[in-house]
Amino acid sequence: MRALRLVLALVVLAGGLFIGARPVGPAPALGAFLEPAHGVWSLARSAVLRGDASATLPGLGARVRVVYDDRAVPHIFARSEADAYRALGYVVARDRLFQLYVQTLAASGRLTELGGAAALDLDREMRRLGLPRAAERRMAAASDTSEMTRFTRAYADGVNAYIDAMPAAELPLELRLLGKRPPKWSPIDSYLMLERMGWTLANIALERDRAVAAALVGSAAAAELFPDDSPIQEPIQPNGQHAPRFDTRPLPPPGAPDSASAVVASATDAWLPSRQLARSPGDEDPARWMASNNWAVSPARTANAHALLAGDPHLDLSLPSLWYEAHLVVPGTLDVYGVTIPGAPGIVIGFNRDVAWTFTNTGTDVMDFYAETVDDDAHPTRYRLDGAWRTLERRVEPYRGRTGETIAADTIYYSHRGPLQRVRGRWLSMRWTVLEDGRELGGFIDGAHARTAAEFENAMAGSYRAPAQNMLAADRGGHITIRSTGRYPIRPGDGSGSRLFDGSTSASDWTGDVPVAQWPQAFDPAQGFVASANQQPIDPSTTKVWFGGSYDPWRALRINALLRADSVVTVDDMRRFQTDPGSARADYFVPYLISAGKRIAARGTAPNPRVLDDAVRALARWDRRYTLANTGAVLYEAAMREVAMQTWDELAPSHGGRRLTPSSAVLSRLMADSSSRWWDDRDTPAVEGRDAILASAISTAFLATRQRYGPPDGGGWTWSRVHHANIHHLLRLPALSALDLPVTGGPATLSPIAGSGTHGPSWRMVVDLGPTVHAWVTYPGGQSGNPASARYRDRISQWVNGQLEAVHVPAVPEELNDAQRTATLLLQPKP
Amino acid sequence: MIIFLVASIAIAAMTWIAGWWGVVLAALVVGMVQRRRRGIAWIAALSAIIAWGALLLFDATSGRFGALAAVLGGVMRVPAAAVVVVTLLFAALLAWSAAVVGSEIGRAARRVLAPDQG
Repeated sequence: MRALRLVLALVVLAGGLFIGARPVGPAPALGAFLEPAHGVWSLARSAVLRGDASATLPGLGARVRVVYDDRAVPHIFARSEADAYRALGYVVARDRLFQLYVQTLAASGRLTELGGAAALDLDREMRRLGLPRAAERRMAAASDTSEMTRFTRAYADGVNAYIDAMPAAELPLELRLLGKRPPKWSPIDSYLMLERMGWTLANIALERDRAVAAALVGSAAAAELFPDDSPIQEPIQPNGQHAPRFDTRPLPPPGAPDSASAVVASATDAWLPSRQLARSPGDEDPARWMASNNWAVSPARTANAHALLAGDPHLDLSLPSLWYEAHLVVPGTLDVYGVTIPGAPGIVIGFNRDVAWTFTNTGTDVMDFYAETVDDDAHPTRYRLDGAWRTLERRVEPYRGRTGETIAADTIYYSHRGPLQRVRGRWLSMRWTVLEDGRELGGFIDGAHARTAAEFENAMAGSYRAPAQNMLAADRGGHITIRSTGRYPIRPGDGSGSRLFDGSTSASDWTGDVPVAQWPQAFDPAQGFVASANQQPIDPSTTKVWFGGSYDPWRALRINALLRADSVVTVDDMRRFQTDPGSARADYFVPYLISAGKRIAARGTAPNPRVLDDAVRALARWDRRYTLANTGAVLYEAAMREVAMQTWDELAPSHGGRRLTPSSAVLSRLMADSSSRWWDDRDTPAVEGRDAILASAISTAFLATRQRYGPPDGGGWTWSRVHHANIHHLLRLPALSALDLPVTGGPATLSPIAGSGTHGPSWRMVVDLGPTVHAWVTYPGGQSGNPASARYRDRISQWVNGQLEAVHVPAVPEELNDAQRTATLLLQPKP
Repeated sequence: MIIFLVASIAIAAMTWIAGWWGVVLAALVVGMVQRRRRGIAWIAALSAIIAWGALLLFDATSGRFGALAAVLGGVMRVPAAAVVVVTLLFAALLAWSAAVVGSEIGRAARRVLAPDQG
């Protein structure tokens, strides 16, 4: 009996030691994980910031006092800027260590180290684009003595000081689940993070969609379906008109397929972001959902006679949030408040005591492709340029698995333009501003010192290159400005970047950059406001510079209409506009849909008159607003998808592959031409016109919506039940995510949450630039990266409801009273 | 009762010092030293539950234990309480098995060192 017990005990002990010491399947090693003193349970203790903490930081010049306010925002009081950025690195690591880690892996194409071979495609995307190499080159090119370099290093030192002294109880949950320790932070990780932003925001290449379309409907039609310039002009730089300009010229009909374009299409697809390849038929290009808004109103049009500014960048929603709120104070030198991206030594969007600033994405095509001639198709070593052979740079990119083993390796070749890829027997190189020189981090550092809006714009223009941003600023002097800041290459010929260039000649290369004076911009325009919402920044009829890109005009139409209509704008108006449920797109298309339905019904040619009548009535009842209780938006959105599917049937690839959908702005152009050949459904013997397709689309949408959500008056069509925001955790663990959040707004409203709901308003800010600057903000998440913390997702309900909260901006720690002060951290120089 | 107290304190202290291996080491020692005591393995197991329970209580009183348990339960797709139970069970199994092995090692050592006293 004793022997049996001993055997049993040995088996249990061996089993316990095994699962205690080694991960089994997806489970971490249970011993260290479950142990209550230092294991995962100790996170309960670190979920609450210690009221009074201290730490030593190597390299610190003097003591730094960090005071956390009742919104968990750290206010960093330092005696030098280097110390302030060092402390920023420390506090960001303290709250967001896992985020720093995983963002770096994603940006450097090293996610396989976490996810194994399953992450290989994502990593290859980063490496083949050349992002890690570009970060290395940028860092190498930065002057050792520049503030940017010094502060980036100081920031890295701060992160590493936290990692080195991190109590066991503070090791993030995700790292425990993955069985990982955080690696040291390197200054290059800050550069990588910016490269990743470039990938998110500037991976726009008109030639890709156009080439795919040309292979189906010919080049002439493709150029109009995927145009360089938006068919609706409501530009950022006011064009002297007081209303949008719609292009109503007929679209050229579908033509014969351009077989040469098929090769280009497949080749350029190799550089396409994976998210774009994954979209559903009928969905517009996800790049068009990358909505951001910003606007500023001059004192002449505000109720309190102060300049007001609203910032509303839309990005991928995640938990923890992309943003981290912080305040840096160096007496007499720096006093800047706003949000930083974990990993960036600087406040990206925010304000100081005089100026506020915010960005939207410009969306101009700054990625070009070149057909290269190489010496060996399988293993090239040289490429042809101007009749001579030039050596290709060769870089081997190894991919490591979870335990450091090499699971794959790619050889990436580079010409003087950028990385090459071989697709379907053709070598293409790519040139992209994101991969080239720029001092973006320096721009954020310099911009924080600006005393006027113009100073801010000029500081950014001096250093910021990519991704190009519509930088809007306002100051206490009442000035409002906007400038589309970034690098815009000058191409040969007509300046267009939406074609495949001949790589064998240097005559195809960029010849310079568009000078600042020719960038889209406006300083104190007569209209009394400046605004951007990812629309085309400048009316092509007013410039000779090519600014082709991926633009969405609808939100600009809406915000400009709101701002034109209100000459006594208040802070609360600014907040309210950010979640305005109105849609210029719906205002434009709904009358067409209703009229077409009525005409077809009157003609008696509808296949199902009853359904058409019900659909028309439902659309006519809709107030064209995307409020939570609204029951009309769901039908309209289904109808618009159906219109796109039925109208653009010519773009359905016969052998699978990516199905293209021209933008709804292009569709607006088609509306004026009721008998265009594009309306005809090729699968029917009849020749359909606009009304037939629109009527068919709303009938089909009505039936599909009724089938999916029940009868229109049954409650199933309520927008809040249909439309949700989904804020996924960085590891997409549902328990750590905030999913199915009902939100006001829809496609083309100022607060769009489109597609899977994972993209949306990532930071909302309103700044009142009176004698003393006041600001109100929120973002979908919370300051802490610890899921057990009350600060992990505490702002989400506020964000969902469109509310903002006032921020504290103390000049000295004592300005925060006891109720406003929740914790302090004293950072001391290491002796 | 004293033995529970001593074993629990030993396991808690060893856990604080050496992590989860502390349970194994402490239970081994308890098993060896108290090898003649009837039911020592079960005493060790219960002591481990008390020790880790006390440490969890410390976590609970100084932090957001409930929120963390809910998060962990959510990640593992089990009720929050189940994660606590698994934690205590893990400690108990380690302690029970280590104490059994410890007591047998103690007996064997005794036989070798003092064969007359078995």
